[in-house]
Parts: sequence; C-alpha cells; structure tokens
Amino acid sequence: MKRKKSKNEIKKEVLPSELLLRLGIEKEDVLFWVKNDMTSSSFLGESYLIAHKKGVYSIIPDGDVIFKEYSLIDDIFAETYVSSGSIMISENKEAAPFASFSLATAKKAEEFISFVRKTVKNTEEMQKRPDYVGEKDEFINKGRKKLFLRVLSYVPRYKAELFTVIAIIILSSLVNVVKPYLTGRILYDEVLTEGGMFYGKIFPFVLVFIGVNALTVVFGIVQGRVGAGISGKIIYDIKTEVFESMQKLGMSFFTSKRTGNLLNRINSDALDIQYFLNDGLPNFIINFLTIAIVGLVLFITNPLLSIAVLIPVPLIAFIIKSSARKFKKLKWHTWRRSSNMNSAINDTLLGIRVVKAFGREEHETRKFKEISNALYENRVREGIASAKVFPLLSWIMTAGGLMVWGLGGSQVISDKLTFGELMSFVGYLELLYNPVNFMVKTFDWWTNCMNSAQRIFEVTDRERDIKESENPIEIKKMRGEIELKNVTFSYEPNRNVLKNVSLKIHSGEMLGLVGHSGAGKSTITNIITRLYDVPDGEVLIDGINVKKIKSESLHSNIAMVLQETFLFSGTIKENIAYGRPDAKFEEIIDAAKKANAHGFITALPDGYDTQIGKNGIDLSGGEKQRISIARAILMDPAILILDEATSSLDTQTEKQIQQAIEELIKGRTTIAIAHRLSTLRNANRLAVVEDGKIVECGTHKELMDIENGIYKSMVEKQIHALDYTEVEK
Amino acid sequence: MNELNYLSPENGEFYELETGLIAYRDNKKDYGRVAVLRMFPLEYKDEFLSVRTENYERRDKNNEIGIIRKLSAFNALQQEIVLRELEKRYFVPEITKVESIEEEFANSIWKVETTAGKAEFTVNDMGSNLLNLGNNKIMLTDVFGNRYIIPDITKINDKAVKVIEIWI
Repeated sequence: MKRKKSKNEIKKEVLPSELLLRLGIEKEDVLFWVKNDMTSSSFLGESYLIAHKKGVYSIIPDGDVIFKEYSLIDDIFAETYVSSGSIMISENKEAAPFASFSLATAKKAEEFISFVRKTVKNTEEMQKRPDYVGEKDEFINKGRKKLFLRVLSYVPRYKAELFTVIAIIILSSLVNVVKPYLTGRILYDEVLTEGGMFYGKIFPFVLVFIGVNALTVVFGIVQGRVGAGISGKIIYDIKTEVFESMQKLGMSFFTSKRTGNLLNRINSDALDIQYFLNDGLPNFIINFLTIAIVGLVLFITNPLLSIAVLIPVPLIAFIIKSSARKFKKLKWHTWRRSSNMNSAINDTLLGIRVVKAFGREEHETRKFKEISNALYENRVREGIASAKVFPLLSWIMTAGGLMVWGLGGSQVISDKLTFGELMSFVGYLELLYNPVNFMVKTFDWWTNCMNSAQRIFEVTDRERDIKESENPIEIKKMRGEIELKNVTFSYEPNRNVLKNVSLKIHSGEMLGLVGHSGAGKSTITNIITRLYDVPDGEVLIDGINVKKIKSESLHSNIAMVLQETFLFSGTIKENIAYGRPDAKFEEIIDAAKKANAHGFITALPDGYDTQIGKNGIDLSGGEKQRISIARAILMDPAILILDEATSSLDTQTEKQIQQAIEELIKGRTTIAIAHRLSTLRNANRLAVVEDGKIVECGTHKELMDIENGIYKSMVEKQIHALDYTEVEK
Repeated sequence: MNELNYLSPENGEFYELETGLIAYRDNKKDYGRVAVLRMFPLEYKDEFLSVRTENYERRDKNNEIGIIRKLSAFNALQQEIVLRELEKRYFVPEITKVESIEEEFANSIWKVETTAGKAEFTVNDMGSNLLNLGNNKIMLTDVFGNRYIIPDITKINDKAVKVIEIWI
C-alpha cells in the first residue's frame, strides 16, 4: 500500500513496460489504467488495473492475471468493506471478484469502474486517455519553514505596528544589558568607591536606576499594546479567512468525518497562533538579542570569567530539553483526562433525563469519580516531576553563580577585577540563564503554533468542490422547469445513492417524492439545489445545467422547508427575512400571515421583535415550522422544496401548516417529500423512489392502478394505520 | 417485532459458488450469494453473524436471512467458507513491526510490516484516529479510512511505543 509522503508536486506514474510485454499488448491499445494496492483480498501490494481496447486486465507483477472481455461484461461495480473493497464484474448475471483495493485507492477504483462502464456501453466510442496522472494528495504537508513563513506573512500587513514592536524589542534588550552594568560596575566602582566618578552620589544613582526601570516598564507596556493589536488583527484575519473559506465549501466538506474535529479546533488553533505571535516570537527575539549582546560584552570585558559563566549553560539546556518530553507527555495526559472529565460532565448533564429515568445516577457518579481520580493522579505525577527538575535547575544556577563568585573573587583580591565588575557579572549570569530556559520553552510554543497553522491552512487551502462556472448565467426569475437526465450520484466512492435517474418536472407542477428512508429522495433535492454536484448525468433548470447557473440566481429562486427547522439567533423578523434582508415590514407580515404564523407571533410580548431562544421564549415545533414557511414565502421562489416539512408535527398542527403550505405552493414548481401520503394529496404527480431509482411515476390514480405497485401497497398500509387512529378518536 | 431467526446446520448450509463467493441454502430455498456481517466486530469474530441476501446494503429492505449464533456449530468446510468471507469483508492488517514513525505536525507517517505485507500510511491527528481498544490493543485509522490494528502494544518496538504513548 503505497501512500507516499505527500509532496506538492503532481507525480506522473508510468505503466511498467514489463507488464505490457507479459500481456503481449501494445501501449497504444491501453485506454486507461490505474495502479492498485492490493494483490488479494487479504494482502497489500502493487498491482495494476488495465483497460485495454478488447477488455480489462487485473495484473500483479510476478503474479496472477485476470482478463475479461468487454462483450461479456454485464456490469462492473464495487463493494466496499471495512478497510478494503472489491471490484466485481458480472458475466451472465453472476458477479465474480475481479480485483481488491484498499480505501486509499477507492477513488481510483471508482474512476476505473466508471471508465469501463462507459466503454462497455459504447465500445466504439473509445475515449483515449493518456498515462494516468497520479492525483494530488489532498493532505497538504508543507515544510515547516514554508509554514512558518506563511504564518509570518500575515504580519507585514501591519508595517507601522511591526516596526514599532521591533524597535521596542531592540531597545528593551539594550536596557536589559545596561541594568547589571549599572547595579554592578557603576554602583560599586564609581558610586560607592572613593575616587569614583560619581562617588557618594547615591540618590542621583537611585533616581537614574528608577528611571531605567521605568523605561523597561514603558517598553513593556508599549510592546504589549502594539503587539496585542497586531496579533489580535492577525487572528481576526485568520479566523475570518477560515470562516469565509468554510462557507464557500460544498456540503460534502461539512458531512465528512473530519469536519467536527476541524471546526472545533478553529478557535483553539487560532489562539495557539496568537500566543506564539504575541508572546512567543517577540520574547524569543528579545532573549536571543540579550544572549548575543551579553555574551559579547562579557567576552570583551573578561574572557576567563565569561567561560565560568557559560559552563552551566549547556547543562541547563540539556536538562530542560530532556525533561521537556516527559513534561509534554504528562501535560498531554492531563489535558486529555481533563477533557475526558468535561465530556463526562457534559454527557451526564445533557442526558440527565435518561440518567434519571434509568436510575443510573450512582453508575454515573462512579464513572465520574474514576475519571476525576485519573486526572488527580496525573496532576500529582506532574507535580512530582516538576519538584525534581526545578530544584535541580536552581541548584545548577546557584552553583554557576558561586563559581563566578569564587573565580571572580580571587580576581578581585589579586586586583585583576573590580568588585563592581564582579557584581555586573553576577547580574549577567541571571540575564543568561533565564533566556536559555525560555528559549527551550519557545520551541514547544513553536511546535504548537505550527500544528495549528497546518490545520487551519488545511481548511483555507481546500479546493472548492462546488465551483461557480466561469461565465455563470444569471436568471432573475426562473420558470421552474426541472429535469434530471441520467443522473448517477454517490456521497462516498462506490456507493451510488442515485442510479441513472431521469425525471422531468414541469413549471408550476407539484411533484411528490415517496419511498422508504434512505431511498434517495432527499438526495434528489440536494442535487437540484446544487448542494452537491453530480459526476454523471445532468441536472437542468429551465433547460440550463445547474453548474452553469449563477449560484446567486439558484439560491434566490429555490427555497427549502425542511423537517429540522433551523432558526438563527436573532429576532423573528430577521429570521423570516433571512433570505431577503431588504424585505419591507409589510412584506414580512404578509408572509407570516400566509404562513399562518402571524397570529401567534403578534401574541408574543415582543411580537416580531421577539429574540429567539432568549427571555425564556421557546417556540413549539409547529411554530418554528411556520416561521420557516414564512421565510420561504417571503423569498417568493420559483421552485420550492418541502422535505418532510410536516412530519415532526401532530395531525392538528399539520392541518394548520398544510393550509400555509397550500398558500405557499401556488404558482410554483414544488417538490415535496413526505412519509404521510395524505400530505401529498395536492400533488399533480407522484414519483416512487426505491434504491436510488425512480420505479413508479404518475398521478395518484395511475399509480393505484398498478397491480402490486409499491405506491399502492404504501397507501394501503397507511389507510390500515389510519383505521386505528379513527378508532382512537 | 420479528423474532430472531437462528441458522443452524440442521436447517441449512453454506456452500461456495464457482466464482468463489459464499452462498446459502436452506430446506426451503436457495438464496444464492449472501453476505455475512459481524454484529459485534470488536468482541466476537465468529459469533453473532448476520447472514443477508446479496443486496444487503439496502437499508429499506429487511434482507436478513438469519443469525449465526456460533459459527463453531457448523462443519469445518462451512466454517472455512464463512471465515474466508468474513476475512475479506473485515480485512484489517495487523501491524507486526513498526519500522519508523515520522511525525510531522498533526500527521504521522508510519512505515510498518503487517500480516498483509509492508505498508506505509499517514495518520492525521492521532488524538482522534488512534483508538485504544483495551488490553493493549490499538486501532489506527489512516487518512483514507483504512484501519490498522496493533494487537499488543507491549510487543512492538519501544521507539514506536514512545511516540504513541501519549495518545493512549
């Protein structure tokens, strides 16, 4: 199973010529091929799928070959298992395994299948494809350096602020270096020593020192303020960019497995970057400059003593580095355990009704105690570990200091060094050790920041799967004619949800879609609204492929009312006007009236200004549904999609909403999905969807006339069920 | 509610089609090709198996023929046929040796030897793609959704253990 470390270049792979030789075929006669990654249903390894002009080969280098002639192939399809899949070919209605593939090759296998299918369908119309170009790995893996530069690339947008910060950083490093000189050399040799330049001028010295300290504080404040401004803005930029890119991504991104993960992270990831840019980077520069300047000053003034100062530095760096891994591990454990604890609390509180109903309070408490105890133990371990390392570090620093004292002291006695100079040295000692400690820590921050940056750029760099065509066609007002032509669609590779569906809906017609759950009804509406693009076949509105229609036109002409109504936080008014924020008050009220919602809205204390989800105002399911219908009415769409719009409501409420819906569908093309067939009594035609195909289509009467028809049996079942409801009444 | 229909060697048998695929017939009917699914894949390898007609993926049909409570009740040949089918469907390589794990930000690139041959794969965000199944058993899911099992974490090289330790 070859999953190369993704590089950003597209790798061109070539079909090995030995294989062609072995099969005795010419390269020119190979129409399409893919490199596969399994040699049998239970073994990984290189193999090839080749579509030749006569038939298909599955070949394993130094292994078996299977050949199937096109004329004998009835069908080719894939079955997907837990971590692998099989390409199946059926001859004489009997399917046999042709090749196995791992999920890494699932996409390629699907391409192969759809190619073979087309070829089988029309063997004359042979499309020649050049050598297969290995596709770009979607998981971006840029080098650290590149990533780092990219994070930094956000910075130059704020040149003036940046300049200030750098200037301040340099100044504070300088002040840092000056301080030990003042408290050592100047204080002892010039102020306190007879004959010194400022002998006896203690108060002026103290004032100067206070002034210098004040400078540090001022620098710190300025740097903090400007820095916070920049990094705040950068985070704002990054978050907005991420949010914007996410909004533009197709539905498939949001339903993919890794989404929840990514979404939750955007916030904490952005925060990691902020920490780094705000605290990590500037302090890194300050400390780096300080070390450099101090080192230089020390060596110039007293090389011998400098060496004594520097001896413990590698030792300190080593200890910090080697304990860092352990600390990181402990920190991780703590983090994971505390997040475990949080989710345990969350689960129990959210599900408190279930917990109580099943009498599982004690069980939950016990579970919580276990988790809490694990966290406690880890915290203790963390404490013990740091209790070992930090005293050791401080001992080394003290020892280093004493060494300087000893060496320097003897130099002072032999008059090679003044007492003040010695004091300066001791001061520098601290100036050196602290930054070393800090630099090691910065490394962690840096790693965190890069991790976060990677995840964030993964979202922003993701290519849009639903792209606006280059010259989109704008349709101000659609007629509402919808046509599906031979549409095949799948959410996941190889699991077709729609299979060669063709359907025509006339302008102003109401079409009911019925069928079991999972049959593909909602998928039909999803592709009409272009939440997903179809790979095979066409979706046309007013005779134009939806891929060519301007997405704005598409959205302003199609409205959906779904089973799960979603109201945004905001007022009822804003929610009704969601699709048309410029709507006039009269229009909003008119829409609400038509939706049978006006009555209950005005009865609320705040009327149309009621904040949803606030002040204890909680709307019922039916009320929410009516608001979302008003939203659709206000849009005045040419096409209306009702996806189980009333199924979560009781019959009484449904009746009220039914009236609203009748108002809504007047003069529009409507596609309604419903389980309760009575909801569809106004439909002009009904289409029965089963297993991704439209199996029956016609008026109620036509469908009822089909002997053993699916629709007929559904109606009969529901009538039977209705009998019971009648009895209950 | 339908009652559970247990399949037993007395009322039916598994056999192999010419294509090598598994089929089932009982004294009433020959079902042709069937699919066998584990109901508790993590706990039971050869118990609680659901036998379905070929188009088992269709959720709108009740296409379960019956349940095998314990595969061991069937004869050796039938057991072998069923197990082969299960092994194909639940093919998950077991990692026997870790050659290297290269960590690159949120991704880690694994080079391993498995029961199904050598493999190289990328795991993104170990926090959510490394699952501790208990008893030192670890499951990894790579960026494509392929799974890999480490049957016993204590039996693979120390270096690899160190890398994943913090995620366990």
